[in-house]
Amino acid sequence: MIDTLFIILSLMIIFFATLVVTLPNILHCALALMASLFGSAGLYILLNAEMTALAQVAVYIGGVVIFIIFAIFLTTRMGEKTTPSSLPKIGWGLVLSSFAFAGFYGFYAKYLNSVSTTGYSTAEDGSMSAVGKILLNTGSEGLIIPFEIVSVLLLMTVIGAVVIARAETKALNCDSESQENI
Amino acid sequence: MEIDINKYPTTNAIGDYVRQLMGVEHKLLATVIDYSMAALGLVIFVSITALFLVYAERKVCAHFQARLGPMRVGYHGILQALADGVKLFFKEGLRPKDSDAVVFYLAPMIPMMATFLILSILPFDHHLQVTDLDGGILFVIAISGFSTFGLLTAGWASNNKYSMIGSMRAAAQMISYEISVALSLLLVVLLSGETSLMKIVYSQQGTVADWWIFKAPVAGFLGAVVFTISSIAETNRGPFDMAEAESELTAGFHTEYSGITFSMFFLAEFMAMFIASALVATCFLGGFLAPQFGVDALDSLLILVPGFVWFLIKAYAVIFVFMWIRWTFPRLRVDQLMAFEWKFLLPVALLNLVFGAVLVAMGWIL
Repeated sequence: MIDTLFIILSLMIIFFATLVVTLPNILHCALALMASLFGSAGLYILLNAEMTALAQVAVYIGGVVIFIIFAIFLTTRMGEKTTPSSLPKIGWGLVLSSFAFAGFYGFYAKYLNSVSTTGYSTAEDGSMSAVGKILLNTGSEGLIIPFEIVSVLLLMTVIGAVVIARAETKALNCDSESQENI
Repeated sequence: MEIDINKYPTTNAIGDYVRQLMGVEHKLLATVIDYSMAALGLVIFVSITALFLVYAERKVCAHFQARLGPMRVGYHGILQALADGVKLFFKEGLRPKDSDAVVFYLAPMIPMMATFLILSILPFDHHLQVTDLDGGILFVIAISGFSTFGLLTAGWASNNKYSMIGSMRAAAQMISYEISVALSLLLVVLLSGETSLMKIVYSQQGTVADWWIFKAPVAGFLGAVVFTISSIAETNRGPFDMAEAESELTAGFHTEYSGITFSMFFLAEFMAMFIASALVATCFLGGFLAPQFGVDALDSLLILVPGFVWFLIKAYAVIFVFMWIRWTFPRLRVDQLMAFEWKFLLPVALLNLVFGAVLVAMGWIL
């Protein structure tokens, strides 16, 4: 049952990932990327990593892909085609991806026994409460220090983004008195 | 008052019959039947609720403007929404020339999908919930970002300036107000210590004073107000309906849609309003729990009413507030809308979250 679901999800991911790099219309590529990311969220759910799956949907689909679409809206015209890949590029892509495939295959062939026994874990490793307890644990097992460092890093990024955005709006206001409409 | 969750049946009769007939081990078919029944139930619920909400909106709007509203079809126009629905079904679905066919027809489905995904985790009653996700609140936040897609792609695919401006406004607005929605939901997570919607409801057992809106002094009430305002904006309703400001943009992102594709946007918008008010009811107003006032004679009567009735009463009370706000406030300007979110609502929500954390840390919850 789970194997069937895994195969369906994997085929879905591969199919949409192929569409992302081959479709002529760049907005269609972004939508295919969304579908592909949805598939990988499904894989996380199969692994009982509920938290990761939800974060994947919230951050990648709800955030990153929407900003990609915004960028597409602001930079391209409707009906504009992406430049099709040239033959040498496709060749290089095939060479690189076959190397990557060989590497992964070698890795899993070597560690197959240890990987497959743990398989689809039924433990509550990836549940929200387990992740929360590990993240906020102050003991030796806990990850409170990395968690706080990441928080400070994110705060710095947010402040940086605000500073950059602010400088731009000031420059705009100097040029024209009109309000900037979105 | 302790409630045993396992007291109620969690499967349906047909699924149980299949389990008996095919043996207990044949879980796959029974599971498929269980969830198909659940999906069917949600479809029926969505259709009826949408009809009811359309009628309620027209009547409430009319009475706020000292009119009567629909009066001709049925008693006090009660069949008006049904007639409108039938009309929409038979209308021709037009697609503008040079529009993007795939995306044009895909776009209306995305908000509908988001609607059904969120409805599937709403606890309507003790046993009336399709599935209880452990990370229910996170799921709500994740999926509500998802419906932005439908509006964005609809505006793009229509090949129309008004649609494009409307969808850009809608997306910018939804992404901004989502932050306040998420922060006020986080307040509830912080107070109750739970992320599953069912457990959040159970954390409010007791009297009316145990609902989160009253239980956490000031913070709960402020959280509910911030959530209500920002979810009105997130569902693109007045006074924040910049995305479809009729006087500026004809109809915004759905200008080019007609017939069934238009009605899908329409349905998704009304259901988004229902979901927002259902979330207010679940997180702040005790969900499906009957209100208890500490007076035995009254309480024993109130608890006889089924939970889903209480849930719907609370949800519709919040919906009435939504409509009240829509028909009494003038529409904001685009820049006012953004300034309101980023300079007022977001700081308030953040400070409220910090205040909630202080309340929990000091144990000042009533």
